[in-house]
Amino acid sequence: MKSAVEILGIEKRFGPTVAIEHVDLAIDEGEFLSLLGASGCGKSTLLRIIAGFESPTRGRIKIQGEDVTGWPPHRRPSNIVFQRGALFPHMNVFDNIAYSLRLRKWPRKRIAEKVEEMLALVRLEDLGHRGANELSGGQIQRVALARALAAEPRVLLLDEPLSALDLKLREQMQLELRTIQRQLGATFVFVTHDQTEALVMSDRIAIMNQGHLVQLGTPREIYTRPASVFASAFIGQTNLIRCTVAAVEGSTVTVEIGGQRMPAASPASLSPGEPATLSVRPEAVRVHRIGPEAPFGIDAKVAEIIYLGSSIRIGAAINGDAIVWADLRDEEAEGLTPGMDVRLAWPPTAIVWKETSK
Amino acid sequence: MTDLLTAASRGSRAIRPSGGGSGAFRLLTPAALYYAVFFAIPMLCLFVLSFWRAQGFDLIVDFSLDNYWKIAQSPVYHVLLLRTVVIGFITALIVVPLAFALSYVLHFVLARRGQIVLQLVLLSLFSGYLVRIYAWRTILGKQGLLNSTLMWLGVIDSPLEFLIYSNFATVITLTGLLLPLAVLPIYSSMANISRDHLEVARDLGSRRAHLVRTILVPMALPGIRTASAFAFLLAAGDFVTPSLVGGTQGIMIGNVIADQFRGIGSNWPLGGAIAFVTMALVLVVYFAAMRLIRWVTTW
Ligand SMILES: Nc1ncnc2c1ncn2[C@@H]1O[C@H](COP(=O)(O)OP(=O)(O)O)[C@@H](O)[C@H]1O
Ligand SMILES: [Mg+2]
Repeated sequence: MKSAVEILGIEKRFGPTVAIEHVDLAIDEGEFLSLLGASGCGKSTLLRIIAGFESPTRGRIKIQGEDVTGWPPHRRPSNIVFQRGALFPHMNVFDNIAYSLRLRKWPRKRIAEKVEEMLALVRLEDLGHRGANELSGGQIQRVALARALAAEPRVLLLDEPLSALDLKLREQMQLELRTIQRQLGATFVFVTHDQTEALVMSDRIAIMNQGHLVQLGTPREIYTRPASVFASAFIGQTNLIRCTVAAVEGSTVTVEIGGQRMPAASPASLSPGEPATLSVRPEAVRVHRIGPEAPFGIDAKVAEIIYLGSSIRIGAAINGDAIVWADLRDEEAEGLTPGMDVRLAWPPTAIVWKETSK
Repeated sequence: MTDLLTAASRGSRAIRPSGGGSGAFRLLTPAALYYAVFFAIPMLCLFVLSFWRAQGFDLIVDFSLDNYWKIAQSPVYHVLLLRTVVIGFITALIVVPLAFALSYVLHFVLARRGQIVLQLVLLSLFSGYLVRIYAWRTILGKQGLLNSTLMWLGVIDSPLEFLIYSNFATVITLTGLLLPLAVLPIYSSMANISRDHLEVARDLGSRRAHLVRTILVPMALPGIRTASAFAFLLAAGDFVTPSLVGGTQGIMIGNVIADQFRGIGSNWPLGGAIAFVTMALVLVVYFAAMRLIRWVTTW
């Protein structure tokens, strides 16, 4: 598949601060790609380098095969939407959306048609005459989106466009944005610090940490096969349990947790006796009552029972110390009480990481 | 003056729909009282006075258009009025774009450090009006800073005469006096423009002149309007600057008006009439210029 955007060995320094440290990334045509990471990890900087607002210290940017490094923003076939919309307050909605079209000297009638089309796309049909200061937060972002899309970009860049909205509206607009992207078949690069948002919307997610690209993959890949402790903790929820490597056989490792042993998978090479971190998702942990039919596992004591609505979260302490969380269905949690002895089990696909790995 | 008036009327318009009648009126009472005492009543007195006659040192109550007729008849007043408007206009034409550029640099280039520079600009206002005019005299004078520097550099052999006691000197000095005053409103209205606004516009294809015309000027328009009012009205109304640096050929209408109110040969009614003609003319030019800015900046 042809690449819409190629990020080739990009590095960016602001004086002594390293914002981006050697990132390589190819974004496919028609793809919805999220740049996901905590605040300050360099997501916006990378997006601004693609847009042309920052020039990279090193590396090159290609858009649709053409090297655009050093091109000013107005020459690039990309457009950007900011977190706060940045609508022009002295213009109404229509004029905001028509801004790039008037600049290109489109005939009046064609502009009106295009603006109508954009307003329909973002579901604001009757708001053309509204002043930019008379809109709600959600409407502002819709107009900002329409204004950027009216310019017919090859790549749309979005810098946390939904994070100023409240949860309900944000969830609704996530789906709408996704629908619009599918409808247009356009390439979207979406910056967010919200992992749920990234999972819901993206074809692929690029996880960033401290200026590095730490993992690239589909939401499923990233969730089920995180490439690092960082990625496993950042996406979804996970138990991170300190343990010691007891035995190694190929990619299967036996670890010791509080004197008890469990098999696990490890992507890195570990040696016996080494301290490590085991990562297992709460929904993968099963809680069994102690008895003859209880499977192989780790003994623990129920410490917490939290009602979450759709599930019940059990916190179990191993040796009165490390708490492991398990998400159970209502009937699975039936009869569990604090202080009860239980056995925890999880599939051997739970992953062990080197203590020091990021 | 005009700006305060328009601000007051804008305020009343804003209040009326929500407040409704007496409540809104009560809110406006202090402001209204202020304008009545310090502006409307003196202006009204002067206006009435302009229809009287002066005979020696006596004022004779009358209703005659003689004073206005006199102004309409004598070319000397026309020349003065024209010079006043032209000097005011040119000064504003230099001051406002300069203040605009300066505000842009303060807000977008210097960012936070711009605040400090702004404080310094403010501080310069405290040095006083006359002191600053005299400062310009020492810069522009025959043996002044500029001439001696240019001669020392060998750019010129003899001092440039036009630097002082000329309309040029008046415009330069007024520019220096009014620039800080014009920066303040433009800077404060530019604070509403964020880096995002400029970047979005550039991202959508706008550049340089187009960006200034469609984004920067319209968004800073309230400040530009106030700054234009300051620059033009204060320059056109000044009579100290022309009398100190303008030379014999440089007097403006303000000097003539002032002369009608003091000393021998004073003529209060005539002074009032000239003042009103000047005011009418200046306001017409001001509003025409504002219309022009609006028209040029529609996108
Ligand atoms: N213009 C700038 N000048 C100096 N440092 C900057 C600038 N822009 C970003 N940075 C720094 O680069 C790093 C990454 O910032 P940013 O890309 O905005 O992160 P994110 O969008 O992921 O929150 C941060 O440490 C930030 O302080
Ligand atoms: Mg950011």
